Amino acid sequence: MNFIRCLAAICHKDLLSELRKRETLNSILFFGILIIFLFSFAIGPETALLKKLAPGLLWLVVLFSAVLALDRSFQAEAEEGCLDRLILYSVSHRAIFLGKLFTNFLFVLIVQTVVLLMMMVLYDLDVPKEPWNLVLIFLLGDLGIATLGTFYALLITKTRARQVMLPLLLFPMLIPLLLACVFATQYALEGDPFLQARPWIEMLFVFDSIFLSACLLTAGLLLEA
Amino acid sequence: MNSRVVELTGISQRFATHWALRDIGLVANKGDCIAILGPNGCGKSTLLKILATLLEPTTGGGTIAGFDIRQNTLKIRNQVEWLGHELGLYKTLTAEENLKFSCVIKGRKPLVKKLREAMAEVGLNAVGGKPIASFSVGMRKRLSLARILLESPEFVLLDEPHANLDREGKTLMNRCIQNWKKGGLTLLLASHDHHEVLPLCDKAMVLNQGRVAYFGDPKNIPSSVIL
Amino acid sequence: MKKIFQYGSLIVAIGFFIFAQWWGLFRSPPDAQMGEVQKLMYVHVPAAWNSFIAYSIVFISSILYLVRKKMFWDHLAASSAEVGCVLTALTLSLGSIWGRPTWGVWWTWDARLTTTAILLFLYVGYLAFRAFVDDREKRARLSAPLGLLIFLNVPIVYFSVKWWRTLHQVQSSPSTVDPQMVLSLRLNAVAFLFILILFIYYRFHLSRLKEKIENQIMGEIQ
Repeated sequence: MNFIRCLAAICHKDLLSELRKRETLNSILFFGILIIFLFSFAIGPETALLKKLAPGLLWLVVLFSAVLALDRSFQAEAEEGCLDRLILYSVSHRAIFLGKLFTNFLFVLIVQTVVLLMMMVLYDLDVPKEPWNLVLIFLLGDLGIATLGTFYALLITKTRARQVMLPLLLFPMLIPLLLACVFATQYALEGDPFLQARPWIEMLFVFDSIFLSACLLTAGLLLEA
Repeated sequence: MNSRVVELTGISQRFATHWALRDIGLVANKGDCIAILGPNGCGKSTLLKILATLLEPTTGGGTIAGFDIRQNTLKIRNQVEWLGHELGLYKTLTAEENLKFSCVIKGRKPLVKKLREAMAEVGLNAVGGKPIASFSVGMRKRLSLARILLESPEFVLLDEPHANLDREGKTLMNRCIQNWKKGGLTLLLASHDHHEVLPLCDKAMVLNQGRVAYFGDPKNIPSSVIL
Repeated sequence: MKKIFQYGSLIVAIGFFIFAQWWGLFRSPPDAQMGEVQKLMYVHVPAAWNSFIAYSIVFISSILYLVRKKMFWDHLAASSAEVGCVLTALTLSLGSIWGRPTWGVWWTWDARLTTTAILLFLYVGYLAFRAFVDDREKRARLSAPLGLLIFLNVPIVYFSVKWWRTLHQVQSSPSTVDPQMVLSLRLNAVAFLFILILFIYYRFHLSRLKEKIENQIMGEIQ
């Protein structure tokens, strides 16, 4: 009960300040849409090619935007000693971690949805053949990004290392997730008569559960360090 | 049950290759008000952070409120309030929301009436609905004071309590300190300005370069150790 | 006595390494198709295997640090990560040199090769992160969870890359090892294991000495 209340309080606080200033969401949405545009300049205006590359581009955009969102989410805590204060409130460390994770997850999910819609317009994508699969992939993929992203952002906030370290540490860790998401998304968009997306979705599930439990196990140590 | 609120021995704190504190011992009984004096960089804030269980000392140990400072940090935190240099307020939230957040997360019901009362006491009633990004440092400090007033701690740590406050704010801070003393709370005030804190205290500790230079009656501090 | 043991093990390890290399270069037959280039395998493959051992040591010492909170384990994790990175870099560069005459390209997106490259990224990241933290206790506390997480990812990376490759219908690397060459390969694997232990030991010893010196200097200043 206590745990849920803390978690909700942290999410509520983050979302409230986000609603008030709309700093993070606006900047990452703008960034995401801008990159979609840039891709078509870099690759050329052939819709067929862009269509073929769409799943990969989609996830790359999400990865880059996620880094921006993660940076922001911990900047607010690191300034003015808010993170120290949170730790001293004697709330559960896992509640703090999960609270931050949840808002990050929400941001990534929103960006993902908006970017997909923009891609459907700009790259002339067809309506997804397997919409429920796509929703599942988005949820699992974004959860994985948010989990490891929150872990690494916290790690870097604790050291006051430069923010450029975040993608350097995070992206190599997310390579399996990227592969799984891209292929599964491709099948979900183009149809999947042979259920080839199945193993990739299973891998996403395994990835998420391993890292979510590992991060929750070590979150306390990280916050107290 | 136990009149010893703080009992620390042999505390040393190392940051990378520099000792912030060397071999500090500190004993405080219930109801004590101790001033910690010393020039900038002598380790006052570090000592307060250790007492707030924000830092785990490199060596040494002891108890706060009867709980071990290494094992039982969660229980200590329930009884200790710490006001540091970094106030830990969220800039985008209003004053009232900041107080509400700390109440909710500590497991108290955020009664609007009580929040208003606390804000009135520190003179922030008129600006309670404004985001604190527009507040001055002094106003933020008053807000953090209100946050402590909403809690019922046993042990209060104040790092430079009078810094950044105007004359009225300083009187307010003194009044709060006097009230806490009357209520039998244990207080620790760190400051480099002994004129402000010594009249409030009944014991004084002088630190110099991370070591204790003097501990005892504030009236008898030898002039050689006051800087 | 300790000195004799130290130098003795050093001489034995290096001697055995030279012997194993000599055996590989001159006593085992050259490959029928690849010729002498194939002899790179006697460094490439043992280095790859042993770097994996080094990373396992990072993993185990990270866990032990989290449980025991002793600096010993942090030193061991850092030393093993460094040696592991050196061996991985060696594996990759030799693989690249070997790939050019054999496959005609410097780099190919082979599953094992790609996994190895990702491993290098991950562990170089681990070492770079360590360099950012000045305080040694804090560094230990922060890098232990990192060492743990990275290793958990290794099998996932391997399988995902493998599936990715099979999807694109490209034949995997021609890893046909002639039975006659197996002996040389094993000899060199053992030799590299000795070298690995020796490197980690010296790196570990060095960081312990550094800590000792740091403590002594800090004791004197006060």
